[in-house]
Amino acid sequence: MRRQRSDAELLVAAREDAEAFGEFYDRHIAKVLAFFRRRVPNPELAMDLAAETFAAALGSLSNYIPGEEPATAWLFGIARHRWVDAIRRGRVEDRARRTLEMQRLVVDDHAVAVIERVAAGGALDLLEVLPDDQRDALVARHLDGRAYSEIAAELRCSESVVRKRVSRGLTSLRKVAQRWASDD
Amino acid sequence: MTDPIRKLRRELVAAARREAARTRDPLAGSRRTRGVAGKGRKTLVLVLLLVAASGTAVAATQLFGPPVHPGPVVLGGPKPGSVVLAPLRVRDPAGGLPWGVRIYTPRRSGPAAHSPLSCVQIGRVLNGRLGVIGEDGAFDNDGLFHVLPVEPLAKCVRAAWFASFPGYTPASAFTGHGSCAAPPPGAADPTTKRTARAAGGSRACAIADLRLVVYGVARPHATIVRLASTSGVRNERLVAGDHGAFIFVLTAAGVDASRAHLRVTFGY
Repeated sequence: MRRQRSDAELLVAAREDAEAFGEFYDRHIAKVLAFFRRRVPNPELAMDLAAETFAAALGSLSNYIPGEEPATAWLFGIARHRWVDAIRRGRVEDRARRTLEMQRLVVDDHAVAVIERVAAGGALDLLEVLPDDQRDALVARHLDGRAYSEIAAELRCSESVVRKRVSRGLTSLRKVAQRWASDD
Repeated sequence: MTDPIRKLRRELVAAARREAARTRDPLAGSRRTRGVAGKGRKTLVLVLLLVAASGTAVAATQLFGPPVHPGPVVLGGPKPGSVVLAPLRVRDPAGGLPWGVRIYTPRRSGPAAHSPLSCVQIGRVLNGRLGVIGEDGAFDNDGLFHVLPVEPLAKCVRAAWFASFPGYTPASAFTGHGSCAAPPPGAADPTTKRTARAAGGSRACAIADLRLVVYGVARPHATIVRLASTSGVRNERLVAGDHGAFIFVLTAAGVDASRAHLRVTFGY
């Protein structure tokens, strides 16, 4: 059975394999849409910003360097930049899409319904930038208040592994929060 | 029936394929660059047709939040026909919406023998409207543009020739409830807790969110207003439509407000 590639692996592979970027998009479009939907007044704008975010990410693939931070932190950093830029300019830029020669999206009533449904399914907070294993451990420990032993039993791993995941998750969150704050 | 999620995926994957091909064959890049201009014209026509034919194109003009609360009427409100948003637009150091100035004459302007009373408002400008941005604590940081009605945050002065209002202002242009606190112009360090308390706020604005804004009116016949500060000299050339209004917007960092001074040139 083929192992599922990580986000970072997908982004590196996407430099030569277009479908890898499609897979990365599939994983995160709902979260990105949810991110924007909570910040702008209508679904059309959220979709516009999400499209520009992924286009900018695609255009910046050569600059992406896998590191300690999850790849989603990189993606949401771009998303946040696009959002702040739209606020400051009073409009959503389409520079990244024009550079990539992408067609502009036209949104009808059906499309609006689809956007709203997808965005609702991707409810997001800062935790969403974490890899699944770290997020699950962090939520179980700090939001649900469960014991490490209980979480370890459920996740079928040792307590030390759970502790390590929680610790790494918190470190990642702190870095992401600091980076977003410095972006403001 | 359109699914924008799938449509965007197709577009992205196609673009990724083109990018990958371009990386493998660098010459393809130059071909693409040349091709953009020619293709751009066709795309422009296509996009215009699509926008005209469809109900809702993805647009970016719906960034308006509720207007700023008008507050109490002072000095009888603006005299009819006196409200002018000067055509002057000044860029913000961080980019985004430009700053603008609105001036008006209040109804209760005093005896005619006195110099006329002028009121001046500043803000960011979007689609010809003066307003503020929901950031720096204002409007719960909703990020939307809030139209500023005539009167709130206005400063009025009886000036025959010249009046200026230098001061620190959040980049949002909003100094009302919820906003971070901007310190008085003479504050040694604009971002300390002490200056925030002195300004009546609970949280001092971050230095990056602060602007040193110098604005006012210079008339009649003022042609150039010059601001000299520790960050350099700036000139603003006034035109008739400006009604003497001027505004300078500087970053707060590294500028000593107490050493900034204005010089006005009048032409007769």
